[in-house]
Amino acid sequence: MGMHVLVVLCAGLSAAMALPRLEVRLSDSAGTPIPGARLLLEPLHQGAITNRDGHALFRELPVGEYRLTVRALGYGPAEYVVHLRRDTVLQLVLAPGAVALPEVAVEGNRISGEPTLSISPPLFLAPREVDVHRGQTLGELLRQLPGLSTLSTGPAIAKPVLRGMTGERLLVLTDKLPLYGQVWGAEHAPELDPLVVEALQVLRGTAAVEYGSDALAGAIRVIPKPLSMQPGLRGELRAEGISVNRQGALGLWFEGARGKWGWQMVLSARKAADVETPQGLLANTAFDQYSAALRLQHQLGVHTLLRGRLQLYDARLGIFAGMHLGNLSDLERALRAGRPLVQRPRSYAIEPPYQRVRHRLLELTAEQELPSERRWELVMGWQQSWRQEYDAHRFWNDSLQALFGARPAYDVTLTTWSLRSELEQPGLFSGRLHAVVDLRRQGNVSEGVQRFVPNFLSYLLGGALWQEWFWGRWRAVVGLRGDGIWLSVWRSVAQSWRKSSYRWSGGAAMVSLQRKWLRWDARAGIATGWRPPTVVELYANGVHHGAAIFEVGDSTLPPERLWMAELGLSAHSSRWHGDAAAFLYWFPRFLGSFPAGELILTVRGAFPLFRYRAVPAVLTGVEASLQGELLPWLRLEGQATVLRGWEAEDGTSLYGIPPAQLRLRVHAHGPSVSLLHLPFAELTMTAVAPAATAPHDYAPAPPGYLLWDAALGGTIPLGMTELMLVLEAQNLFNRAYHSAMSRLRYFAAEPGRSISVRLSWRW
Amino acid sequence: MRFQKLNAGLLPAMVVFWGVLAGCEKNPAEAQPENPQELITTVLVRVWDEPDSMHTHTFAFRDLDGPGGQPPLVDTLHFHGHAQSWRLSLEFLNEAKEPTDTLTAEIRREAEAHQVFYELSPELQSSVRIERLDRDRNGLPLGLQARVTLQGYEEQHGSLRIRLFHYDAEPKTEQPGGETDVDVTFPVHIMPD
Repeated sequence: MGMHVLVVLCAGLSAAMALPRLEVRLSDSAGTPIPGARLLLEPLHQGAITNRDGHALFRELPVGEYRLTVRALGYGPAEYVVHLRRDTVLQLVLAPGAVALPEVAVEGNRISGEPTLSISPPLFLAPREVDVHRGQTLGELLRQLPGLSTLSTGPAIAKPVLRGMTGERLLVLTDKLPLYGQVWGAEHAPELDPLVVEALQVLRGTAAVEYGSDALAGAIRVIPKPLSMQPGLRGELRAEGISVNRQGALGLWFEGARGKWGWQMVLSARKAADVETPQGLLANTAFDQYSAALRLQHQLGVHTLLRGRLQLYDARLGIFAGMHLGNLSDLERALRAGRPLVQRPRSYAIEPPYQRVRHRLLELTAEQELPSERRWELVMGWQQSWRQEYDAHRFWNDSLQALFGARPAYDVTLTTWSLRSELEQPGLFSGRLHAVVDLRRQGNVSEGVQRFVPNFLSYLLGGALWQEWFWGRWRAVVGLRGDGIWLSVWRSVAQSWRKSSYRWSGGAAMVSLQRKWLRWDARAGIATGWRPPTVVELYANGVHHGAAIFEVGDSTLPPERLWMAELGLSAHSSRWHGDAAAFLYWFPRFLGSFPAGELILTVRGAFPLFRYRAVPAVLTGVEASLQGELLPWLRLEGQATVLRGWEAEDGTSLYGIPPAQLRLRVHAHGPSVSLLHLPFAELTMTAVAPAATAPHDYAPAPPGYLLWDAALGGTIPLGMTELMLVLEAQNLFNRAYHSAMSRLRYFAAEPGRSISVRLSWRW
Repeated sequence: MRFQKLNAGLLPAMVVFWGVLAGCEKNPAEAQPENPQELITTVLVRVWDEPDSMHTHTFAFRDLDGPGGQPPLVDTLHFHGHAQSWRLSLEFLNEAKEPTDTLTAEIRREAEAHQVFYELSPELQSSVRIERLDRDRNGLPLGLQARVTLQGYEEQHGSLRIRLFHYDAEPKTEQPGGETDVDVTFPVHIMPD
């Protein structure tokens, strides 16, 4: 890879006060445009993909010096230094060469750098970072980003948590389609294997205008490998071995194109045994997981793209044998023991209690470029999420055991039909205007021996409008959304089948302002959103076994309402980039399960009563990140998050708020040595503060802890292919610690030292 | 024209798409049969004085509607001071079923995986002793049958906690362990002669 200083072609003059733009035109030595090439502009870390004409555009760039990396399949990677003073057009010519490693994944043909509907810029985890830190679950991978943590139940189940919020407040999307599953459960994680993740984007603050009430706290977009439509066959093999639970994982990716048709297939398989903590093995935490996805793409004419996707997921996830409790005394006994009560030799066997999750997804998308710079997209989806939980209960009665013993205690099938239409066009006065219409139908059927969640059917109709404007160095975004939801619930009450109906409607809005200087930009925004109560919040009525509490819903709960404000500041130089965001969330009505101050007496003993209520609540915090070059070969990264949440009426801490965290990473990259290209080594320190103890908790919150991780790796070119190797050690010093965000924290420490070997081979 | 071409291709695709998938969905409005619940709604404590076993007193902890709903009804265990030695026998029932389901026999059959513990409140510990009489095949106590011995003739009040454990994932020992199936507390009144 050589560094070239190019003669720059200037084309046009910008308006007096606007920041310059950079247009890149890429072609080969014969003058043929190169579409689908990936461009990365450092130090801004902005990406773009060249379109059919080989053009790509970076807008609103501060004046200064940049390093542009260009990678295109079939061509050698190239790097250019660009001195940007005014609107610039770069004509670049690439020479054929070895297959290049894509650095940036951007969805479809959209040019990155386009505004997204969030006050603070989205967080982005680039493919290279994903390759190095790919964990066992999507949640574990997301922990690399500031403000993100997980609510875990053992190593296999990790719900992403953004600024303390998860489940029905945080939307996970695969590509452009939301992933609909049983998000209401604390033990229900997204139905996705991290092996199929190429990059991640997180919309912080709130994504309620763009995605509705499922995204009140934000949205996480899992970006798959884009389909490049380059002729020929390409593939990648990803293999992992993880020591802490003797886990093996394999992923296969194939892609090809012919004429106007392109296809992509991704397969993954993962199998793990019981996980090891510094205090011993955790019985029945083995799991296995399989997924397959097939994508097809068809270029229908010059301006129209059709895409189809079929995705299947199947997993069996063991639940730690010691956590399904009979009652509060069992929990107290476990707490006093200080170590896992149930012990067995390490095994791959998955026995009750365990979860079986099957998810099927079908998607059809049409994208069309229309005259007058307009663009229209239609996304249709069908998903079915089938989740069963088998518990260890055995009927005393032999005939009942024969009839029902093999059936799951919990068996819910959630089927979702969705339709989203988005039109993008030049906006009022300037900028771009987006108009979205969402339709959704969702039905749930419960068939287990116990029916914790009633049957329901809901319809959603929503519409949103948002626009951004530019005036000189100012940028403003305004968005508005309205949704209507109709819900019917069916339950068996006193031997009769009863229906209850609900109807809710609400609006969301966002206003944000951004001002750019040469090396700084500042942003501020306010937003509001809402969400209806979930069926669990309305109709819960029973013992929550993992937590030894008795939960009761409230069928008269009103919808939740959020108002938020956020301020942010970014600074960048050619070697450093820093960002800080401070936010305040005010919930006039926050729906949650709160202690009622009384005990429910049952034949299994007394359980604390928790009722679902709407209470006023506040959530506030700060996120900061810093990345810089200490030396040309040494990079320092840091991120810190602090979060506080409390009930506004009495100041009681909210349950489940992650403790403050600081992470520092030193990353060294070296020159190529013999066969090893791009070698790197990393050391990471994570410091987690003691969590706040919620007053109704059974044990004091765990103390703070310090963890060390390390990684090293590099790339080995093998003829026309490339092999990437990563060796990672997590919890390097085998520290025994309890995490406030783990549902196993009453019973066991977190996993101990783990060595992972990751291999990806691309051809 | 291109736009019309797109629509013409999409419309039949959408119809087929929805039609095929609609068949894969179950109907939430369809009534479902109730599954039988194996609840223990009732713990019966039968007590008789050992010399004279003709008169048996029965006390109950009853929660007929299961957890939640109406609070359970709990009888006070009365022991007359005229007799120093009492026998106690436990029964576990599901009275929410018609006819009442007796679960005691199953528990006795799986004695190696069950154990009953009796705990007296501190004020009774010096004057009352409870000894479990039945054992499983491994010689470990089961506890469905017990002997209550009174020491002293004064009136006393206290409580008796009765717990039934089942040992699934771990082997049965002489200690409480596994999972609690029953944990009930009866007020106790020892009446002077």
